[in-house]
Amino acid sequence: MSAENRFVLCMLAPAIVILGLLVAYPVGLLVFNSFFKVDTITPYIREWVGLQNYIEALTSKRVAESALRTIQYSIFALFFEFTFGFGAALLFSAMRGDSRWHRTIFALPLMVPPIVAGLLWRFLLVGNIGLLNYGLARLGLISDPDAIAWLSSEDIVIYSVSFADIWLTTSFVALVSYAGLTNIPRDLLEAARIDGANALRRFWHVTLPLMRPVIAVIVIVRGVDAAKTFDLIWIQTQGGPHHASEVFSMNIYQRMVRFGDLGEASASGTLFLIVMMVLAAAAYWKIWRPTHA
Amino acid sequence: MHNPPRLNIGGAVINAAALVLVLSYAVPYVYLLMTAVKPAADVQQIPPSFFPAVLSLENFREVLRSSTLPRAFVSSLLVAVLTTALSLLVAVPAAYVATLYRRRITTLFLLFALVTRMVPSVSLGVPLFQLLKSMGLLDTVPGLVLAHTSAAVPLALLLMSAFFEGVPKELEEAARMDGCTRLQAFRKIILPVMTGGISVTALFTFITSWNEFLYALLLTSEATKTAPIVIAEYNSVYGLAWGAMTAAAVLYSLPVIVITLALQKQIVGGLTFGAVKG
Amino acid sequence: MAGIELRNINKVYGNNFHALHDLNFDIRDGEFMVFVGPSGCGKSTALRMIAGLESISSGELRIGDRVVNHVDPKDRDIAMVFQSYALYPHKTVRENIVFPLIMAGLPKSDIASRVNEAARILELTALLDRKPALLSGGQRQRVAMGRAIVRKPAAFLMDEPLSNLDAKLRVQMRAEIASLQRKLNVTTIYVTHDQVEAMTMGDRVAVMKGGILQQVDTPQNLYSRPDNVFVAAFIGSPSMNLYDAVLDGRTLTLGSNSFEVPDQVFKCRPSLNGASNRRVIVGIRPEHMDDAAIRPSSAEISASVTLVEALGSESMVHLNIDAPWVDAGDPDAVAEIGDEKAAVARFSPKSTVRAGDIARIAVDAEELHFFEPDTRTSIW
Repeated sequence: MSAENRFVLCMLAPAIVILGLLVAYPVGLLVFNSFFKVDTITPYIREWVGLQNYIEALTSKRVAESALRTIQYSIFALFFEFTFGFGAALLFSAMRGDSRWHRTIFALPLMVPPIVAGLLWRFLLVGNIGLLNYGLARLGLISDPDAIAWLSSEDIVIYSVSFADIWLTTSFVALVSYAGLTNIPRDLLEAARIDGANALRRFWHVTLPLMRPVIAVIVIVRGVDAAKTFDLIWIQTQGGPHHASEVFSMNIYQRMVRFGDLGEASASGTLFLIVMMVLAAAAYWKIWRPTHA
Repeated sequence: MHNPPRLNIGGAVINAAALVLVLSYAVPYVYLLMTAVKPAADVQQIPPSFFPAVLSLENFREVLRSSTLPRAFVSSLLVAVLTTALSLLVAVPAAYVATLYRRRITTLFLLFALVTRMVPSVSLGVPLFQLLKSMGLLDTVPGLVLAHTSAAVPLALLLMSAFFEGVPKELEEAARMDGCTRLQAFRKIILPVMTGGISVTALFTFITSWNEFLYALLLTSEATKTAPIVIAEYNSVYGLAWGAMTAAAVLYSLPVIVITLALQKQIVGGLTFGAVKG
Repeated sequence: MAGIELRNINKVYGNNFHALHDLNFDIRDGEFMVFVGPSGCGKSTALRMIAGLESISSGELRIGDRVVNHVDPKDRDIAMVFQSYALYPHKTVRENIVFPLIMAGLPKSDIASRVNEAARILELTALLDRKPALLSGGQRQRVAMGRAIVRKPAAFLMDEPLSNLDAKLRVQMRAEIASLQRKLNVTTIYVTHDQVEAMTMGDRVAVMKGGILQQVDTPQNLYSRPDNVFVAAFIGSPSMNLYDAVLDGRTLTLGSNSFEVPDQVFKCRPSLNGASNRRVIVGIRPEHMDDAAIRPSSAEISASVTLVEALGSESMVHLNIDAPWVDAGDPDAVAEIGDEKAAVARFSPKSTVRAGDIARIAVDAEELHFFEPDTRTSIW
């Protein structure tokens, strides 16, 4: 092997080892476990059951509901994160003068640990002492502070728990979008202006297409993250009331820890992994359409 | 840098809107701070108030007096520092060759790293539990460091790759002409130039570990409990100790905010991946 | 100080792109050799292979008497100046220059004296404690040179070191580099795409195209005795005008023009004797065409004037000669719009021709060049 190739391999080796040991191997283990009936506490006692865990996972009502909730949560969160974030970025780039301090303060939620954000919003939304309802009542938007039971209503809890996520990551979307917006050469926009395009058309025909890779990155990264969310929801509701806020990741956790069913948890985990990878790949090809390999 | 709006009014409206947006965004966190400095009894009063009636450090005193939170902070700090060190050690050389010595294996490797980011922590948590158990590393600092590293390395790889894109290959070639082996060129010339990018990556890696909850939940119990776990435990059978929880949460979020504000110029630059060439 | 020998050097890249074909020539000890050619001709690849930054697919490379095919760049005793200068941004000018000496393990006293000497020669003494970011382009270029000369290597390699400078600075630095090389007498290989730099700086020039060496010779010989059509058109600005023509005996027919070719030409190119309706490619340099009204000659042709650029010292006259023109094969040459390609002539400033006129052009027939139509090589 040439000296150059040896060098490359040596520099790559530690990373390959770490990722192999800590990611590839566990994923292999995950898939392996999914074909067995095995208990979390006694993993050495196992019985081969083929695809049975998968069938049970795919036919379980609870699993299906948690999957649905994951989709509801993700789409809701992503939609608002994206609109608020992108809108904020547009606002910042349209601002006269330096937006640096605005962006720094706006980045505050990024520095807040998800746990803390979850707690915070729980405190804001919880019945009786939650400040949000009192604020809304004072503004006249709701009749009295008990009108909306954010975290205890089975119908809306799955959306309520996303407020924390939206608050947390709108900043990320805003900052990345802003970076993308400022990278658009001014000449292009000016040329469009001279060609007679008003602000809206400039946005649609020049800005948006050039922002495609950035938007793709945001959607893929945030979309996958939203689907994977655990901490944030857990600290707010632990999946309640009555599993109404149990998303897929929490379902897997319950299955493994509460029910001790390692086999089924692994099957769900594997399914989750596959879906995530397919979605990410699809989003990559459709939205990004890479210009260079 | 910005197109001046045609009417002064338009500009003022935009500026005002931006200000309102930003301030309202900070409100929830400010509320957290306000709550933490309220007397314990006032925290859960009905109706709730935004501002504290009197300022009080009761809540802080209570959480600091208990033994679990300070110890958990130490655990969190230790794990985060070790994770950062290990992740950088592993990711920086790998990202370097992936960017400046591009070839099939490096492209494949980067793709693999990207894919690992798609793996939900809960999927990995299950087998990681088994792995650490078999290595006898459950509920230990090294064990949690390994788990955090598995999440941090892909992020560090992606960030450092973006930063290394801004380094011209000629710099390394000049060093090799001047008497360096490839490794010496990397150590003596490339690394000193990358201190900015490495700091940003270190910060993000630190934050990733500091904020991490799920693995800590799954893979530790008493000995290595990290801060987020302790904070979550304020929700006990006796109900939610909101006052203590908010105080603990404020203390927990402070280090990250302080460091990030101190390095804010690099951070905002760090999120503009492709524009590193400057 | 050493000579460099290239023997059958080939470079094939992973995707089967054959960048260099059987490169075979020598660079003499102390010589200033220029590699020149259009983009993609392989000149930088050749330089980088001599430096050791690219591997050699086949063939042998010697520096001094050593075969260095598999020797690391750091052990070849050569120094390189990069197009982008590649200065170490975190080091001061002094530290940049000192770096290779530290890597070589030189004693401190030697290092100090060499740095001061290099700084003096390149007028960098006042800048020694600055960082590259605070230097101008010209200053950075000199630091890059300082880093190279301080090593007292067997050879200097320079990869288009002047292309990032503005025109005036480039002219000035050209002279300085040339005189520096003469003073230090170190073997130097200089890569450029600018044939003016090649002609003014090189002791010898290697012209390359498409990975193949076209001709390696002194600038004067490249100008007056080009081996093929490409070299003939590449060297000299504006380019030599090339046309298909017919030679019959002593008469050359160029489109609707004919004239007698003087004896001198047949003495220099004996193969042209006894031509009977022989197809040739004829080349006429712009400087060998003038207004016949001012300087009549025995060889005259007519052409219509399309454009006159009066420069004061001379006039560049663009002409349409009604003969089939020949593409020299320069990939960098601007593609012509339509079928017409104007010839360019350098008329005396006293000429009064205007666009639209039909002009009589005096050709200095002793300076005509003749090439074989199929091989495009020179006929001697």
